[in-house]
Amino acid sequence: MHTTSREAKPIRSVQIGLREPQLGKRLREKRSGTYVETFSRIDVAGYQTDRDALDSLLRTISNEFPELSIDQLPLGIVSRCYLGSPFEVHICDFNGEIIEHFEMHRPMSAPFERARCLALHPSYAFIEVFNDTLRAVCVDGAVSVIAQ
Amino acid sequence: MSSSYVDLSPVIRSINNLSDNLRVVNENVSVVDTKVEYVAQQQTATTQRLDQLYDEFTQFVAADIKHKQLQFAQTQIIEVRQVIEKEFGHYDEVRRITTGILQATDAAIVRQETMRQATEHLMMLVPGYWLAPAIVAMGAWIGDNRSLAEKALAEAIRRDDSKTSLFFALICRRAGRLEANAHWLRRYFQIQNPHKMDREVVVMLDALANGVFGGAALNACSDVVGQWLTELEEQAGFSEEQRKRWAGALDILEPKMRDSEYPTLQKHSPTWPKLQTCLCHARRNQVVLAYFEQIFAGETSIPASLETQVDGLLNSLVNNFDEEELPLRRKKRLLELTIEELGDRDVANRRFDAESDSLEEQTNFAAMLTNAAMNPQQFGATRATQRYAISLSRDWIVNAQNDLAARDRAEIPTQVQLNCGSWTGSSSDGSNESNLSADLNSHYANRIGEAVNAVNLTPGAWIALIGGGLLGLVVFAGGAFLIGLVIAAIGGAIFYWQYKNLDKRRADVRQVLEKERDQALQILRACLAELVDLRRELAREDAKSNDVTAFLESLTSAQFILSGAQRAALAS
Repeated sequence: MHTTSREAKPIRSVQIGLREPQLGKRLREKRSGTYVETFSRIDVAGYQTDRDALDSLLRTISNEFPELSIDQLPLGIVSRCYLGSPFEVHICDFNGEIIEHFEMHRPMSAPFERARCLALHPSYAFIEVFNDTLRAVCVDGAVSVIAQ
Repeated sequence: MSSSYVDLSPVIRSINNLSDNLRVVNENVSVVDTKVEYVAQQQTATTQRLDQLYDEFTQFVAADIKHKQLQFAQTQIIEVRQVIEKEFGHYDEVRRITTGILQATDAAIVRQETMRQATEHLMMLVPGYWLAPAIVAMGAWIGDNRSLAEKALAEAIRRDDSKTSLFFALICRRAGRLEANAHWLRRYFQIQNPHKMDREVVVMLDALANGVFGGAALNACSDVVGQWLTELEEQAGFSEEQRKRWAGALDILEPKMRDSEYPTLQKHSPTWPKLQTCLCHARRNQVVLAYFEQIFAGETSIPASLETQVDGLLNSLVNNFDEEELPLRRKKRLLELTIEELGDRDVANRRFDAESDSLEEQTNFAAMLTNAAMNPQQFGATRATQRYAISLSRDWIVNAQNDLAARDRAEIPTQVQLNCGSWTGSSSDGSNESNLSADLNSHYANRIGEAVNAVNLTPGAWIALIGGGLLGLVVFAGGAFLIGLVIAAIGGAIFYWQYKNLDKRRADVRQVLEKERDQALQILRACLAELVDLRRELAREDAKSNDVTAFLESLTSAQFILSGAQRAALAS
């Protein structure tokens, strides 16, 4: 198992959040270039070893959704792992503030495992995992929504 | 000293009998063993036949239900058509008169008095119908009878303001009265609520897309369409609702799979149902692409004269959009779908649900666009309107297509389970044949070893050996050396005969399992070959989703509205 975690430290202030259907509309919007690029290069950017860089990662998410409350943010992001065999995918878990790499036959926990197949598809840069949906983000930031 | 003689012949006879009996018992055990194996095979065959019979019976019942549903639908549709004819047939006379009057006026070969009488008769023929006073007003206008025209017009507006306004917008356009045409269109737009529109708005879209409106009227229509869509999109949840509507409309285009495809995986993979679903999902992309491409292929046919084109729109307005007929039209449509699907009521219901919006009395403007695009025949939309509606809905369709593609991709199984004989394994893409074959061989090697080791000497053989030996020894020790030897030899012979037979039985067991192993290996190779083909086809069909979005993103709505000049150029 390959993981990186951090000491608990607040990186965003408390937000009231949005209500439906504004929330759904907001989460449908195209993701910014910075956000997509950041999560597309987790393996090469040293996040798994540099804990300050992990803070920077979490700040990127916070900046992408400044108006959302914490419970409205994704549970985590699943994407293809480029560390090579035996690793296949990795999770950036926002709740546990941890990055974990998974080998080919090692299952992830429930809400994330369904995103594995999508994360491996070449059309998607990464998959945002929410309680009730998966949101597949393309390289250009376009978002497709799949009900859980 | 006298010698003693012991008559051991009874003992010898008994031992011989015992030996014979043991041989018979042994043979009988072999016979029973063979029969038990035969019965087991028969039981397996009987179970297979029962399963087959059950499947055939289930298929028969399903086919019988479908056949009965088909017959019922074929009978019912005749009755529904007769009811429509009986209850609304008299509307036809009114409807035909509309263009009849216009064409008679064009030709100037019918007296005003004749037209007046014909139109006034309609008021008594169809009480309550909006078109009757509208035709009276039109006839009075042609006959320059202003007071009658105003009275009849007021009555028509009272009965149905929306249809009357659109009706006279088209009449004025036909007559070249552009200012009046624009006035009636403004009135028509003011009446409309984009959240709750009557179905005849498609006639306005038809006129717009086919270049009937020109100049100020064209701009007014285009602007108001844009305003309606903007107003709708501001409503909470509207865009998501439109995406779901389009996703439902596209999903229904999914093709069925033939039973003969990938037969080995069908039979030997528990993952087959998921694979089948995923493949049908992926094949939908080509169907969707072909559907949109054929809509946009070729020229739209434009009638030679504006008058003919407007007459077509007037016919559409008066024939297709009367709400009283809708319940019967819905029933008729469901029966038509049941007949098209050869009695499969489930599929017919799914298709009906997907297009049921097109037969609702009122719905929002964006839903009207979806209906015009996907169910033009039900909705009375022309090809040009279909194109215009799709181009206006482009962003929703692209999002819906992308959502469906993502949903389908999330459901693709990463591992495919395989059952070959008594061995089970899995493969992701069929490329690990050597590993799986080795595992299968190892599994069967263990099974063969265990089965062979389980074949042992029967207790009778041991009794013959030990009992015969002991008895022979006792007799031998008693002085009857020859008899003792014979007894021991008989016991040994029985044991040896059993022992020799042991090898044959072990060889039989090994042969059966080796045959099963070879068959399992063939099944495994066939499964993996089909899996390779299936994964390739899945990737190929999945990639076509990008073709769909690329095609749709190339469309812009403005290119599908004909100006008057373009219309004239196409019609000439």
